[in-house]
Amino acid sequence: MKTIQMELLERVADVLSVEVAAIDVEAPLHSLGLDSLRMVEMLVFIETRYGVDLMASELQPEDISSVSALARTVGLKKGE
Amino acid sequence: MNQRGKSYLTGLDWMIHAMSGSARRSGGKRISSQIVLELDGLLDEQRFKDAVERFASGFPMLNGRASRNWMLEPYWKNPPKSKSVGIRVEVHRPAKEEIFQTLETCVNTPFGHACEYVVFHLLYPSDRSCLLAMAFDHRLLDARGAEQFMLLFCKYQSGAIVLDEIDCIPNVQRASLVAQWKKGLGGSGCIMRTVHKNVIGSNMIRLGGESELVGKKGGFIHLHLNLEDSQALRDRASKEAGYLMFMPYALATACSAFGALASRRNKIGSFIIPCTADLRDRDRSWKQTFFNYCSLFFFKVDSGIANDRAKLIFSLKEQFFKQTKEGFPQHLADFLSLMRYVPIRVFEWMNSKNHASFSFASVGESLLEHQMVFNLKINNLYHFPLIPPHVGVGFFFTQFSGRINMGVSFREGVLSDEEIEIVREALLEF
Repeated sequence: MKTIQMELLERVADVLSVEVAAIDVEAPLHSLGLDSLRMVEMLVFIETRYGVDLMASELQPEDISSVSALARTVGLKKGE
Repeated sequence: MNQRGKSYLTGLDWMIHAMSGSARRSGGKRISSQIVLELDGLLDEQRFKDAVERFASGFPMLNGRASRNWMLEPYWKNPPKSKSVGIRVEVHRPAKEEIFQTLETCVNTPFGHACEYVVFHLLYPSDRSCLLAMAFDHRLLDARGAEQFMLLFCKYQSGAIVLDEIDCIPNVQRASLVAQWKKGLGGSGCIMRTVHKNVIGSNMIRLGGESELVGKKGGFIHLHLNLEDSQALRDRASKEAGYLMFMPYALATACSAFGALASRRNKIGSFIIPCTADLRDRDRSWKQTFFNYCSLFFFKVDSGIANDRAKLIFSLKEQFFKQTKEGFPQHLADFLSLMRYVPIRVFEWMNSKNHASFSFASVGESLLEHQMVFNLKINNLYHFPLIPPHVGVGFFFTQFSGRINMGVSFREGVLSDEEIEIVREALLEF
């Protein structure tokens, strides 16, 4: 079973049309090339896949600004 | 795959053709914009013209036009080689204080003939630097495509690209009519909910009446923020709208500016805002240089919250999320593909009923970041955006080398001089 981080990594790679191996999970998402529209697409994916609404929540940038941070936050929210 | 090398036009292209027809018939010129590159040095005029001539000879579509096949599908018809005239280059030597006026004149000048869609303008205001502007008709290039075309030219000129080795012809699949209808109508419910229900009974605020929009040239407001102010704006956007939420924050900025105008005119109601959504693939293929790839989101904002920044941003983010989740921009693009079979004059009439308060677009990192132009550094790049017909006011945000550029386009007469200052201040205050 894929981890949340792996699923998010694959999704980001798909959104950016790059190979998974090309993405550093700690790199800020904006440095990878995500913009507002792609970020919202990721948040839609997260809500649909995990039932976690990150768009409306009051999160700090460091909670969602990399693939690994997103995965941690999703994991925490899922557990709530 | 293209049949016999034809570039079939999409529904998004057809919408632009209808808008262009409307603009011409209402006394204006075609739907066109301009990108401007401020260069750190002087372009050799003759060298530039020679390079343009060689480059343009590789693109017969530069002088093409729309036509229809026997199944009424519109496509872009290239002219015979003998009728290909390439790209005109105009040279200007304005005084430094006349640069903006000259650029306005360039973008307001009609194209030379019916099949001219791109014109270069060289401006030499001093003996140390120059500006390169490219006016373009949206039937051939959208804003992102214009940057991509400029990038292609720069790479070709530097030898980084050989034109014969790349393919710039878009892949527009010819689907069966049944498949097109299924796809086009499949999202009609989403379109009804997002657009029609939002507009009907909304008491939408518009600034210009139809008669005020006829025959007038375009006016523009430009704000070029320095690096420090740009970063401060991005920090505020991150803090108040969230990480990577610059677009909704910028849209809120535009709403606030428009709200100041509405308030001054004692107008209460709703702002209906079509906002551009670029549907291009992320891999930036050269195949997606020409023609149009921008669909729309549709936002509705009550004028009562135009001054409440938190509520405004929350509302915009909520709608952004909902429409992305429902796939609205793609549904709209699919639906518009059916409009290609509608006679263009009928589609123009349908488009004239478009209801919007102002239009909005925000482009992220420019495609020309880190690109040299004839070995010259680009100090700044910004757009003179199109003036939406029947709407009359548009806001356009771009970024280059860390700097944010805000542009407002309007039909002359829609905004008074005092209102222009109100918009300027409202944008800077946000």
